[in-house]
Amino acid sequence: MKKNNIILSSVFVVLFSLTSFSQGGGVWNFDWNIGFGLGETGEFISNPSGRGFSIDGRGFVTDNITVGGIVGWNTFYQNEGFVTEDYESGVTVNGYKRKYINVLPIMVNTHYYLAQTTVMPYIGFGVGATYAERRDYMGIYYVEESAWHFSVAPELGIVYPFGSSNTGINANVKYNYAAKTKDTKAVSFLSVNIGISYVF
Amino acid sequence: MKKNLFKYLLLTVITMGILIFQGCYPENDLTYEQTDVVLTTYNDSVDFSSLNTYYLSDTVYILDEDDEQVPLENQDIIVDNIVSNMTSAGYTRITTEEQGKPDVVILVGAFTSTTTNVGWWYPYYPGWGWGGYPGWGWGGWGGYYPGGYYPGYPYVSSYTTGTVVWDMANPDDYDIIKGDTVARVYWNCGIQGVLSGGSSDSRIIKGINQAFAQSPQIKINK
Repeated sequence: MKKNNIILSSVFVVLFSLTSFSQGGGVWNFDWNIGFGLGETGEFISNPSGRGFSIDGRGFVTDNITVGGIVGWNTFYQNEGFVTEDYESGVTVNGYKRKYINVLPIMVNTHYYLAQTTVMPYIGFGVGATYAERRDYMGIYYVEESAWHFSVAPELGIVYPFGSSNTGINANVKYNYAAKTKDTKAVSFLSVNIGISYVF
Repeated sequence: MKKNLFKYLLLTVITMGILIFQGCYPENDLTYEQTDVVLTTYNDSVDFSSLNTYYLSDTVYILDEDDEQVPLENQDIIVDNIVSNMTSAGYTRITTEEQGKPDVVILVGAFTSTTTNVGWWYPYYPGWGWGGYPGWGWGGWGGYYPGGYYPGYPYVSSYTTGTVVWDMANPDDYDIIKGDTVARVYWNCGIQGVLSGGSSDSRIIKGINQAFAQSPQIKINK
């Protein structure tokens, strides 16, 4: 718990202080996330996830570089109905199978804006911690794996401001990778994120 | 201008609220039938094709009654369906002493308790006095399970559960463990959840059929 508190507090400090003390303004993004599992995550749950949301705050530290942070939440889910599975030593189980992965990334990030004209394309990179909870249900029974993972998230996107207002559309593609831990598997997914940008 | 930001924040909070309302675990409200789980384990060192006859009592006892043996209310449906599936699998049921000694015995029991602190479901019921077996003086025995028989399947549950279990064992194939004679279990089945909730009978039948369907190894008429 102590570790989690440290991670949480440090991220929130970064998230809110960086954006406010930066003199050159910044960007807030409120995005809907659509996730596609990759690697072991995709093998476990092949269904894409439409249950995801993130808030991303960025402050300009130079004319075209921002530093900020992001918190998000994605739920991957797959219902396989009644299945029969064999385990070791002659054990066979039949039950109603559902699989879940809940992912909660908390990261600091930096972005480089290639242009700040009618479209603001950017590339970015995030690094931080991701809490992932994975459950494999049979009926009311389940196996759970959960851990905080070290994670990185490179991304590519655009902000499209509406005319001269400070509101716009944000769209980006991000590769989310949460490294495996001693006891738990890596979690990785590609996310397409679409939302509203508030440029200040 | 800040007004817009608050608008978006509000929008975000509402959206997240909807997500939270749906929860981290969507579609996790199950019907009774969806809570049913069938678990079977067979002993892979047994040559099932060498078996032929079995004994099965007409009484299904509730195992979570500590001292007294209480027969389960709908025991007939359980016994009848195990018997018909055993017949389909090629076994012959013996009912009288004159028919000789059976190759194996099937012991059927039920757990009706609402707590589920019994491991996977019940791995052990030591010294369960089992009456009704004609002759031979086999009263009172507990089966045991060779190591590594249970999958590491931890659970959390507050559901009301009811489980029907049965073991196939050969009382002549036993080990002495700490001075007790314990028979090796050849095959064991648990149909979990079927004694609670609605349409229990049809779920019991479905569960028993599923237990046999997922245990082709025990068939002697392959």
